[in-house]
Amino acid sequence: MVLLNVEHLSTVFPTSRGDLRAVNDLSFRVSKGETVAIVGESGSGKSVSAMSIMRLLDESRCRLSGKVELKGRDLLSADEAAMRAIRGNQVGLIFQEPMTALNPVVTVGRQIAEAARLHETMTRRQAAEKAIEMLTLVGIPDPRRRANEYPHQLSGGMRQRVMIAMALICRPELLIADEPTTALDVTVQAQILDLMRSLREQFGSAIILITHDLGVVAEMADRVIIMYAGRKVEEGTAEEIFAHPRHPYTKGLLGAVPRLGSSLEGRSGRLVEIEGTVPDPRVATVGCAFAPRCRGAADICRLSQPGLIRTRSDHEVACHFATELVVA
Amino acid sequence: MSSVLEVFNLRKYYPVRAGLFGRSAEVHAVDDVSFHVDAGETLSIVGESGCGKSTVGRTILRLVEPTAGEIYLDGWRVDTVPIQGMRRLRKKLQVVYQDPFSSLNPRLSVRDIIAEPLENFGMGQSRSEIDDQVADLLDKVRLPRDAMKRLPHEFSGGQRQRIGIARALAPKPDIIICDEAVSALDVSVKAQIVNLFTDLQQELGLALLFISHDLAIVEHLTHRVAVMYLGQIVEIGDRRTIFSAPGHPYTQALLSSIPVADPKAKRNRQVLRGEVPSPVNPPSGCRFRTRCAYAFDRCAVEMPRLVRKTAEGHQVACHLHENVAAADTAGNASKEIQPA
Repeated sequence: MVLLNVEHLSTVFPTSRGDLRAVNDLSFRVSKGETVAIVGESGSGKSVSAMSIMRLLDESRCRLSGKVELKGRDLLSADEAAMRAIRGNQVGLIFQEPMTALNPVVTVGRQIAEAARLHETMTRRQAAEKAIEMLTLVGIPDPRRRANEYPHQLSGGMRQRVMIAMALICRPELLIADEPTTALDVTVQAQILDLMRSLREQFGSAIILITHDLGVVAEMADRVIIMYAGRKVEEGTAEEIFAHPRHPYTKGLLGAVPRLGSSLEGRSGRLVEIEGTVPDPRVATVGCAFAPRCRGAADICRLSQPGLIRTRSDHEVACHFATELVVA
Repeated sequence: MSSVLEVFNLRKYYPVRAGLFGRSAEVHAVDDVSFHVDAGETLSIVGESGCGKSTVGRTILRLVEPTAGEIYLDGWRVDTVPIQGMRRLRKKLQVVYQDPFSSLNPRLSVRDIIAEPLENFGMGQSRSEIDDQVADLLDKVRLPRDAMKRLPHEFSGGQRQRIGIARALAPKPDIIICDEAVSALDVSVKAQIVNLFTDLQQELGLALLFISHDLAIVEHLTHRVAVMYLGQIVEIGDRRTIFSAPGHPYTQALLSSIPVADPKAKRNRQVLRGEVPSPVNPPSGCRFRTRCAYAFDRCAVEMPRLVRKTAEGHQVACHLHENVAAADTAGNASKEIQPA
């Protein structure tokens, strides 16, 4: 069952130096209980697409177009009151920086309780009890005492647990997690990923995981979407993307990450480089946005934007040479 | 091989006020750390935030004054030199920082940024002579020569990091301290800079002290690794040993925490309990014992010392390893691991 359906979503910020196309013609679906990772480097449009879906951008400064449907209900035409009823209730949100996402002058217990009371009728006392229940669930030791503390009294990992508790208190069907572990140390990241996995099983929530860390993707995702310069350049199951990447950018990304165990395999000391840098999103490109950095680029790449081609039932690639690569 | 940098029993304590009435206490940011870096070698210091790895680098640079310990650069003692005398030594000791946006003066042209150390160290007689050297340095870091006239904001993060590296290379140092020098960069750009460091080291015979939390990057480019936890080195050894047969339970947990970019990989993860304790009030005995799956009575009472496990210099500070190691280290303890 399709939970979220995004079709031809574009987000454009008009600037004095021309339109900035942060998200360009993005389409994807998320099914019930599925984890979809959106992967890209800074400026690829991965965070803006999530913000657009949840209508969290200042819409006096940008233009959204396309279609976003949550269980068949159109979100782009929904008014603010309707969106507020959806956010935190049907859709939970986790951000990278728990310190800026939490209110510094309200105890964490009250903040979690507030999220519950916004969407369900319950007394303060019931909400406070539910908050403590959630803190226990996300593995915060001594939850009754911690509930009365302020965000600054908690460590980064604990704050992220509080964010997760808040996002999950209404048992959302969809959880959008934007770089949820990027600011954390690896041992704490491992704890948080474990927690997200066990809560996913318990609650059956679908997850949109936005990240640049391919290791986190491999551990969490069922399906992967690779974004480059605002566009989806490849989509497939996690196994397929890691084992048979088709787009030159995806191949480059996978090669650019050193893997643990490299010293044992006695591999030579060079990583795959993707030459150059991400293009300026204000400059409209005629052809493929990746062409200037692509070693296999031909004339056609500089002249026309490649459309998404389905190379397998579960694999889409936006590259003029995608089908040839399959044959090769 | 001779050591470019030697550090013995380095300590850095910061006074802090704890509690409402300002009870004074100390943060033990670095507590009895010893290591050396040989010419042309990369030693990486790894650990999580707050383990003291950056403080080690800053102390060597004398950006903060060490509380105790000895630091030698090419055999010259660094930590007792009056701060004015550091200038001469800094020629041999350069640094590249994490953030390429805040570490370059936004008002200076790239030429002036790179020329500054050359002028400071009197490394060129005329303007044209300095220009030639700057052009040469830009070649070394693979930036176009026309970058000279431009300002830092015209460059991307990766390019700015190259400018920072060119500036560090300018005085022809023997060692560069890289403090999370690739951590802020995007994946594709990170690979470029890692490769650049590897090339420069081979080309120029530079020693690198590479401070990082990214173990996969470290494994890729380092020769030896020191693992820090709460201000102390818990394990040090060559790359192969640390990554294939880590001895300390913390190193083992750290390595198993790293997500592997392969969905089919079998995970045998040891998830650590809890979080890093406060360095103001570190646990008694072994500092890792509160999170260690193998901790026993002795760990709470007695602090384990680094003991040599192999002839290649693999050292582990853990009571579990002491008995094994005692036999082959008896009477053979290096000055590196002796307390002051």
